[in-house]
Amino acid sequence: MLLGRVQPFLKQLLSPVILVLIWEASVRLGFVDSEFLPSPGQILQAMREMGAAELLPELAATLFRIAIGFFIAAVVGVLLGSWMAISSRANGFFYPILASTYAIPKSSFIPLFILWFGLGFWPIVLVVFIACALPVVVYTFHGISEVPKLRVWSALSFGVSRRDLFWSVLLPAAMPEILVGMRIALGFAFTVAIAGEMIVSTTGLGKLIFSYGEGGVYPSMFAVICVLLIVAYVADLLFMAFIDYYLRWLDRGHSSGGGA
Amino acid sequence: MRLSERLRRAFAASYSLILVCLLWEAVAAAGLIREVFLPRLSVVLEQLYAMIADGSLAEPIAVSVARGAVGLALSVVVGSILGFLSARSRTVHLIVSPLLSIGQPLPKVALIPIFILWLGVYSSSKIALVFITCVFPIAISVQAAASAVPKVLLWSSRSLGASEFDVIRTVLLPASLSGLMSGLRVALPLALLATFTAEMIGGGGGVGAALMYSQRLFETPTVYAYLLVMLAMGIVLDQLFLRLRHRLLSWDEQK
Repeated sequence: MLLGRVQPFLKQLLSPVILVLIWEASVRLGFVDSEFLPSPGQILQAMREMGAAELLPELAATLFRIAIGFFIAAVVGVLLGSWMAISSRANGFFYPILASTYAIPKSSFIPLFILWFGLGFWPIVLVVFIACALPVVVYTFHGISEVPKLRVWSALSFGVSRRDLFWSVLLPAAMPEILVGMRIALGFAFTVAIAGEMIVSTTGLGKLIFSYGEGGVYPSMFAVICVLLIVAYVADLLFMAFIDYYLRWLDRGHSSGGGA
Repeated sequence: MRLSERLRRAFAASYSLILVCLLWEAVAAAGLIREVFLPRLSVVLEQLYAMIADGSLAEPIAVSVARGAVGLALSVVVGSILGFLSARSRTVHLIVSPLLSIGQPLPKVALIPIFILWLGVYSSSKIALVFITCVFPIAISVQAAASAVPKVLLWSSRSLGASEFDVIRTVLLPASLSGLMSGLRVALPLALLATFTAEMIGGGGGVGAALMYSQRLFETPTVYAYLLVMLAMGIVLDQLFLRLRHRLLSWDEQK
């Protein structure tokens, strides 16, 4: 029983582990110059030397910016996307504006935001916001638009108010789509936050990576990159776990009449 | 009558954009926002025109497009092969699939300093970033499409006497092509993003580097002009892609 459950997980681990072993071996055997690619062992060593005292404050700075930008984008994105799905007038107004900003790579706003706000906290939060808002708006719009008309009519015929219709019928039904949009947004958040920190910031993991790179301290640079990649991966895993958990609740909620 | 209807629709589809442009011009002209932050739209457009006229725009665009195109081409070749093999062979799937699902959500921009270390600040490091950014979505959708081919199609083509090569050529490859197209839909904007971001961070020419340079000199109209250029490049790329997909996948009613 247990083996059966563990086996697929072990299969997933097989090739990454082999890859790391090949990497370690080829650096030790001298096939690869460790100046250009430090071995996993050397990278771990560099991580240990930096320790939590150096890494945690930078990690916290990066995650804080991402969290603020992502949160504002999630709220604004869901509200705007819903409004556009419900009101064709709002859609007529916002759609052309959003469609024309959709094509622009969001990291390009970084220099503009530096012009506006100088170096520091706000340019990065703002670029995270811009990058996250669009996928949330688009997926919310689709989610709400695709709620079956029959469900809306039956809710209305039961005398549900407009406000309740939105909060307890439309929004829960659109939640699977909205969460997919938010997962995409989370990926963008990490990308633009790191890019922003490399360009303008004085703190954060992106800045740390870049300054180790410019100083030529390559094992430390690789170590911070590894920390960042692990954090981004775990954030994605946690968000997916949250989606699974949340949607399971939603399914149960449907049969018992749906919650807020 | 038809013309007026068409005009009315065009206006309905774009009046908010026109409004935003007018508001921009008015706010800047009234001096509500300092010129360093928001120059008038007309000044930005003049600057854009000047950059087109004196030819200073052509080189960065050509450099960025070439980098993006080479990186994307590499990721199409490698991604399609990886995705296809991983859909057809269990061993390849066992090796490739975990790496794809781990690599897909990672923020690849973090790798820029590594690519600069390995390949220098010029084109190779940018191409490497575009490649590593685009290869994951392409490989994943090709793999999904090639493994979603209905068994019935394979069985019937074999029982109708198709050789293994025929099956690949007439059934599996067309199915993978539609996967490649949906992968490209995701990868194309990412290619543009990766190119510009790598250029903004690492310098070494291209539109991204030119944009950063004008920001450092506080040439605000140039900054806005480059943003418009990037916007235009994104739209042109998207339109070209839609045409390409329409031509290649005219047989596929789902697209």
